[in-house]
Amino acid sequence: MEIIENSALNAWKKALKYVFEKGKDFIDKEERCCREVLNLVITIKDPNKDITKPIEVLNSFKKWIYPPFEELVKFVLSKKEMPGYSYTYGSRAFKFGSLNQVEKFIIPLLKKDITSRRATLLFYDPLKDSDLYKKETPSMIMMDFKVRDNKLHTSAVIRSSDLFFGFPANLYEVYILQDYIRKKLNVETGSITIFLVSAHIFEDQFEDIKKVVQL
Amino acid sequence: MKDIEQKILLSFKKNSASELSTSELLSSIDPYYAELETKITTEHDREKLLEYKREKAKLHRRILWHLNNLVKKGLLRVNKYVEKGKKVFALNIADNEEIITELLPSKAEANNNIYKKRIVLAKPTIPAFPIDGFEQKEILFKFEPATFVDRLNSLVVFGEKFKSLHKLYEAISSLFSNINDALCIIDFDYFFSSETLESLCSFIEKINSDCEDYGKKISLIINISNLQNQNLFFDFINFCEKKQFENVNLIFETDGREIQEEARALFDRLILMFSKTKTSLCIKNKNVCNAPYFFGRAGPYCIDEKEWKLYFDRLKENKILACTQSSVIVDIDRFISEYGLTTEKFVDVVMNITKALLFANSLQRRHSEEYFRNIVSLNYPKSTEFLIVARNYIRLWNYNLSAEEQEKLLTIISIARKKVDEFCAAEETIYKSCGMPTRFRVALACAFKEASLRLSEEVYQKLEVKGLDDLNKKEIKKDLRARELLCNIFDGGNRVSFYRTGKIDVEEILHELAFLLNSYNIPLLIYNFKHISGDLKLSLFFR
Repeated sequence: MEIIENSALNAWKKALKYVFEKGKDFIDKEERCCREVLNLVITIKDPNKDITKPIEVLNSFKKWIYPPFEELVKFVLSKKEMPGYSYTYGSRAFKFGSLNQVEKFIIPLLKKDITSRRATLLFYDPLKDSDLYKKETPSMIMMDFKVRDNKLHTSAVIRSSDLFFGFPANLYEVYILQDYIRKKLNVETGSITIFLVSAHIFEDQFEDIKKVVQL
Repeated sequence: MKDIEQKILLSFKKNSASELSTSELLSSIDPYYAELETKITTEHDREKLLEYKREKAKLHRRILWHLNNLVKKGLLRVNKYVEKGKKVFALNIADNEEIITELLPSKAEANNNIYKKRIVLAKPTIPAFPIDGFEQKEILFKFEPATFVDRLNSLVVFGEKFKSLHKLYEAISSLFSNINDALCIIDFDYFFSSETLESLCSFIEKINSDCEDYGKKISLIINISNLQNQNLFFDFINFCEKKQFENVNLIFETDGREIQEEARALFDRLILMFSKTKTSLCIKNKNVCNAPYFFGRAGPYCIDEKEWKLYFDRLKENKILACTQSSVIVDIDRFISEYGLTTEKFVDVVMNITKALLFANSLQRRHSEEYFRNIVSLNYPKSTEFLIVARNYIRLWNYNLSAEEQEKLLTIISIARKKVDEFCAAEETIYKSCGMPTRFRVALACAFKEASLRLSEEVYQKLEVKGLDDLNKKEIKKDLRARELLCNIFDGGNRVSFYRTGKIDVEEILHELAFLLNSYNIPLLIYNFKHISGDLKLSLFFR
């Protein structure tokens, strides 16, 4: 299934509705009733339009406190591991082992060959994360960048996405990195496509999801 | 601007909210200063030592001239004076203000036509917290509000990891700027098999004096069953009892069985020594908890027992662990005066505190590498793991358990506790869902009077117990059970203090201690000999 929208909010709402109506239920290991769709693809054609809107909608519930934008930015752009987090996307992107994937590979590569199909970076590190007993491993596996028509189009693969609570942050995180690279390349913002291997929602979120979908 | 003054300002760049002494500033800008410090501690030749000390004083005078210049220019301020009149400096800026200066190019840069760089020093904005209104009414207080976010409240140090007291002392000295309140050194018993009496005494004198200067408390946990050299141990205790260190607590880890069997002779001597000096014997009941349990000015601290067991292998790879991040104290007496004993309002207040702590943690995490760089460097290569069992604290002050509404109060606290736990679990789930797994936990604990000068007057009631038999009486048992229940609700720590009066009968006290340790789930007992005297009848107070 592929959802294509100009707006981030509309894409999120459509995806929620689709999983709510078409998903299959199962009980996960934490004994939560989980409704899931496998291999859902969401494309936002114009991320500049309203990329923060899904987060603003979640904040409007006032029942919980969503991570602030500044924290999401730091999580993606901090070049080092940070105490308090099990990992950060920033440290994986900017210091994967000894490799700065963004500044020593993606940006120089695209500067050298603007049509390159090799601008891919990984967050998932099998040496660290493929451990039977490790619980906290990146859910975003990789990102890919293509410059076409002077626009930076970005794709990401997420192995597991809590579509209600997690997706708005993931989308914003992808946008932050896209924007960082775009500015270095001096190109315009292109689309964002996110491939969700498991897109799921939980039974205890259903009432709140109905409110979002009806917005 | 002079080169040295730029270097001074650059020292504040990593953490613009930091407070730096002249020595810290010298260490940061002049590599020769660190070299001199080492020479001074290792040099035995008196002449050379004097020469090094003169050089050190010269460096101090020189930097002070520049520091005073920066104070005159309004860029720095003297934040406080510490021991021997030493000044501690901070940037003289308010929230959202910036200091902008320009770096002069080095020769090499000038030759390559690289010109001035700008340095911008800005103070991070501290957000408004949803508890500020209650603070104005003095119902609650942030513990150490000025450093609520950029310092941790308490740390646990694995003493054995430092191999020598000299190294341990160096580490402790560097940690003072990272904490607001307390340090706990576990496995301190290790040093009785590897150090001399002289080094042990010098160590405790130095840390006590430093704690006095910096306003901190240190607890040394001594596991009685691991003691290798009892003669050295008693010589050390004797020294401590003579000196009466006010800022260092000795906590003896044992249990009811050990006190009556293999450690009986040892406790006989300890009881005699402590009763002679009329001081407190602190006992950590290892039957109830294995995790570190200690106290500071704000109150008791502990690491969650289940997590300690679950993560022990991973935890012990660190040298330093954060125990407590930020704390807020609720004055229950003032709360009741203002709102009555209402569940809804109490839960509201506690939830607002929890949200404030979440904001504080988010800010702290974002700047953790700058704020806690000493911990990060001491823990290398496990630099980023020190927060894995840390919790925030909500401390309660002036809850009168002997009052008629005791049960209602305990129920209300339990309801609030449940709501807090649910909120923390939900927030951890949200952060995890966002791909940023992190930890957010809040513990409840009691507060000490020293936690804030503005707390209400203490109204706890003392209960007198005449002899060991009274401990089996119905009303005493009920009171002790309530305290035990409170220890369960107060997962962040509680202290039960017994005040002994009358004649000292070591045998009797050993029985009382064993009875209390065996019968009640009380993790930290303070047995105070302050009120003993001549031939008064045997009696025991507890509160």
